[in-house]
Amino acid sequence: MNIPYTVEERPDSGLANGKLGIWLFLASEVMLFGALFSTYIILRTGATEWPHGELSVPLGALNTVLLISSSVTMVMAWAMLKLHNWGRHRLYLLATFALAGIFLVNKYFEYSDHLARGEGPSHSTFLAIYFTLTGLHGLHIVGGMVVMAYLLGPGAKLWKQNPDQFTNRIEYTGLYWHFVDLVWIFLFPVLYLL
Amino acid sequence: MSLRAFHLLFIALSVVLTAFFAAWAAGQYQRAHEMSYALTGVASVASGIGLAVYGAAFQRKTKKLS
Repeated sequence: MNIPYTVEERPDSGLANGKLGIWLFLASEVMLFGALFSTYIILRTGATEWPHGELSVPLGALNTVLLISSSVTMVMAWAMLKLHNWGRHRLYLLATFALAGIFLVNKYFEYSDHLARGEGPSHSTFLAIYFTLTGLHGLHIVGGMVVMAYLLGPGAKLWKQNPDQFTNRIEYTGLYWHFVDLVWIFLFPVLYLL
Repeated sequence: MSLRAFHLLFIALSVVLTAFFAAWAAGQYQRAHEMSYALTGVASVASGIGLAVYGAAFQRKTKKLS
């Protein structure tokens, strides 16, 4: 049995099932991160003093550059499929995966530096919210990498069977990836600069 | 919203971030007078201009993709 509306748009919603699904999922993600950002604001406005300069701004800026670059490579991976350039698509998707991996390596060094100095989540309110927000964001990066690995590996077979459906899957992955990058665009100034 | 539109929104917000980062670096430079902050500010402004140019080119070149 074929699942309907994987490529063509549903007449009632005007969207393919996958696109409606990914936007509903992203809406729930906005609520999750929105709740945590609200928590941060409440904790910060209620604090008598708030630490500054605890995090490495150069490392945070480097990670910002990595994620903005990865959003460019992700959208290029999708655009290459639209132009039926399979080789370039693979290259761009692999580049996105690699940039995400470098982001996580940087995050590992940042975390281990804090933990080596005894600055874990229980050290202060700031570090508690820092580890919670960036840890959850890091888990989303890992999730995106798992999906990309699938689309680079066994999931790539779909391109030969149904290229339009595969292109849609890459677009939905791209929407998720842009959301994850967008969260970081807010996290970086809030945690590292303000 | 398509990936193309979301990407353009993301690039626009990234340009706003580079402007904010440049303003932050300028504030730090005024306070500490360290050259690294001045360089950070200049690099951030340059990145913002680069992103804006990229965004305009992306919008123009991908008009037929949806």
